Amino acid sequence: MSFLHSIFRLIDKVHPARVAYAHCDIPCGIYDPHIAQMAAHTVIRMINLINEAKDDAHKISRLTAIKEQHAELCKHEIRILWGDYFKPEHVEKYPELNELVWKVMKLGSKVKQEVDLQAAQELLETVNKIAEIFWKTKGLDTQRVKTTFYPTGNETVYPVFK
Amino acid sequence: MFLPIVRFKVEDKSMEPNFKAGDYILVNKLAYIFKNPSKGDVVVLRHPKEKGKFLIKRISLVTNSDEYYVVGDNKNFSQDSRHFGPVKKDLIIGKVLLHLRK
Repeated sequence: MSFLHSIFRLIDKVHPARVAYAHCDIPCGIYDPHIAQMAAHTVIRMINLINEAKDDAHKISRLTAIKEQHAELCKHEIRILWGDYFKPEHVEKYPELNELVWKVMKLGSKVKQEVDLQAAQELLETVNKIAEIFWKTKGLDTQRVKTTFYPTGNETVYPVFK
Repeated sequence: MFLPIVRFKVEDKSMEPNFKAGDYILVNKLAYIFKNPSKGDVVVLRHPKEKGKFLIKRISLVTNSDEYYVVGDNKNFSQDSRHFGPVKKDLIIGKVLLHLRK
């Protein structure tokens, strides 16, 4: 700490300096596409279970409620990545990003409105593509893993840690 | 009373590693009377969206229409012209004249 800095600190006690923010809008730096990916898997699972539930109205109501919630969660998480994490230079480098986000919004609504397995799979695939871009911006390669450990069995994009 | 040189204290981390929270800066309010800010200058400016809030940023680009892109040195942790667009000269308070590290 310099001598002048100490003097300024003393002056501050009498007449506080104004603050110049090196403003960051709390970019907490904690971002991960995984929640959106899991939510998309859940939507697929719910659609499969709804199709198996036949005429059980009670069961279908419960499954539909979860399908609705997770479709919204998926949209919400992607909105956060898009609004808070991705920067203009990312869009410049990956020009398909905005369209992918837009697609998640549309598919997220479609899977709420209908029992459409294909739309749900497309939702997951779109989220996976966003995840690939996300991890690339972090300097990490990705791999597609067939998630045999989920009942859906669809592919999920994971980062490869060196 | 008009003071040509004003004292600011730096908060937050968008200008790291060059300017850190707790550092003091002296800002020359007369620096841009006869000339315009140029690329690379570290300036204090008024936040274009939040009244009464001051920001410290670096000029990264001067547009043809005399607007200024201000960006934090710590690009991953900065809210700046990439979010609120270029700023006009009247928002810029002055140029950082002296930097006293914590």
